[in-house]
Amino acid sequence: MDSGSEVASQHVASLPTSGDADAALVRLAKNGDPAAQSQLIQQWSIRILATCRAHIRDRQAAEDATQETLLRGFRAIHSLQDEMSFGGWLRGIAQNVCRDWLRKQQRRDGLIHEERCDILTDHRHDPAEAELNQQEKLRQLALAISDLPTPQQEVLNLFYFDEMSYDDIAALLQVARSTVNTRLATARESLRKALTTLEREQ
Amino acid sequence: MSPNQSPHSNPIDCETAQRLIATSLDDLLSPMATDELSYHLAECAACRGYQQALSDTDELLASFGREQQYIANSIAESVAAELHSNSAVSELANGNASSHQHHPTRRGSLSVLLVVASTLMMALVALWIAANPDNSTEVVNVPEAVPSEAHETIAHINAATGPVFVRNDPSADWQEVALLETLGCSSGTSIRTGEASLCEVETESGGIVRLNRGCVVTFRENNSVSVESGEIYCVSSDSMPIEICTPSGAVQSPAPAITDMPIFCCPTSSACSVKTETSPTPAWAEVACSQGTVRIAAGANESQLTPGMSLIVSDGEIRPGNADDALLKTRWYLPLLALGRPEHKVEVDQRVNALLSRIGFAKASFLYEDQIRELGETGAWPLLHMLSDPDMKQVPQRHVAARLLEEMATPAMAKQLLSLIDDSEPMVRQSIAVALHRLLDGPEMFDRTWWAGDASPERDRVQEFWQQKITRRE
Repeated sequence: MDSGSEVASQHVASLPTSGDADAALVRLAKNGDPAAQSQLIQQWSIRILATCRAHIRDRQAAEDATQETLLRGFRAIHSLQDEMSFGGWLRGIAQNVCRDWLRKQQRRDGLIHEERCDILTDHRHDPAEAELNQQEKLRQLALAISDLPTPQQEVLNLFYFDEMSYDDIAALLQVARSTVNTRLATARESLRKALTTLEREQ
Repeated sequence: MSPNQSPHSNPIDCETAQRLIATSLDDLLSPMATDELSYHLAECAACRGYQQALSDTDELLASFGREQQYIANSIAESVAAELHSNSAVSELANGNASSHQHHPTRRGSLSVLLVVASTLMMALVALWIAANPDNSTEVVNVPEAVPSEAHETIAHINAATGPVFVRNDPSADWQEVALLETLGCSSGTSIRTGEASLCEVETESGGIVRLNRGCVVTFRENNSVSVESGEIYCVSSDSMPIEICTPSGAVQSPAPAITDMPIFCCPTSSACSVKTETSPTPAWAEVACSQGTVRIAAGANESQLTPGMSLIVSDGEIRPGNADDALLKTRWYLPLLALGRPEHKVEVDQRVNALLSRIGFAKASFLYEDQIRELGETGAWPLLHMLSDPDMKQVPQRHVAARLLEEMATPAMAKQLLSLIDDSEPMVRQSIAVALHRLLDGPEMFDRTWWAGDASPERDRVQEFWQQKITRRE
């Protein structure tokens, strides 16, 4: 990281709370501070990836959508009025990008289930290594997650990708803390069932 | 407490227990609930199984989350690079006299270059080659009229992967160099690489200039190099910058006035690549920074590049360059690193580590993987060191390193590989076994999946066979 980022970190370190720190960082980024922009991009890329993966099954397309969201967001950051609402605003852009992609995909293929084929092709592997090792389990997990309802996936992804707290997830998604709790518990339980069944079939 | 349970037997039922187990994953249980759950678990095998399965799922999710973090980081890097490269361009698009005020030293270095360049126009400088009487291969002719002592050596060729040609006069014929180590370049020496060869030149101040295939450059005093055509990669030393220019209409057509020549300055401890293309017209040059800060001056425009940024200069205009990362942009010089020269060891290690960190997490992972293969034996050693490093715990990278060693490991690595055969990762053990099977030629009875699980008699027999082969060889 260059010295500019250190300057941005110093700005942030002197601020009292994380919410204020985020807003201060957003203000710097709005003024074109490249270090502040880099720091925000670094911080938010994982959360936007969490949202995009929840909306789009195709892994590659979700990564592209994440990139597109961040580029669109940071190019338009000067138009953001309330610095405190940066997260929700960026997530809104992500949802729009994902919706656009899904619409185009439906027009192109007509069939949603082809996305499922993408995932399977993507994770094809050498049959000689088919035993239930870590990589294989991760592949199955990715498949099982993509079968969960989108709201559950998003909570699950935010919790595990970025280790966000229940409260932070609730604030970002604008839902009650208990909703986050329920979605996460239901998602875990569904995954446990899916993985246990797969293990028995092996 | 469940109404149908006696307080002296199990105080909670399975449904409640499983709900508590789910909550306990996030450490949110009260002390009382923890006690109740422990009591229930001690007596209920089904719930213990449930707890194990849920905790396995949780661990797997955490591991999946870590993989996603790598991907997100890689996306963040490319987004930041693209945003900042665009903002640099828009700054230039508004370029005016004020931009010059930000870089007061830029004018100074331009003046230096002008003096050097005009001197070059007038003086034809000779090339000196120390002829080796024992070597029958053709060497470069040394013009008799110009004694070699008259010309200070400003650079020398370190290494090349094929034919390299030199000349000391733009109108003279190119001469193939046979003895690289004896070639000293003086100011005005031009070097050309063949259609399939690369070469590395070191300046007297310790700067490195690598020439891609079919490249022509001319070296001058003051660590200045002009790229006539093709692509170079420069690393300046920590004591002296390198100045790069692209004269002879290589970037603008018709040929620009000398004051309009694009100049790329690679300050101390910086690295950049410069690529010139004459088609399609107008000709253009792309400069990409991979270390430190690189400055550009083209006509009235100036800009600074930081690592990951790339700009294209054409007809005095500057626009964003291609978004490939530095590892892809500089892939062409890997055959030079593959020569295995000791001074490249640290660079090869860093390169392999950087490549490994992208494999599996970048969109075009196979490109990074291929780059490691291109390094051949030189690239295999860092992979082996990484696997042997007890502090290196990143599972996906260890898997990739082991998989690459299946095909890249060399016989000299057999002993160290055998010491890794009991690695904690099943996939690593299997790959090491495949590598040893290939290197030590057997035994006939072999199945990689023996190393997927716990030790077995078959596995012990094969390892014993390898151990004996290695001992005999020593």
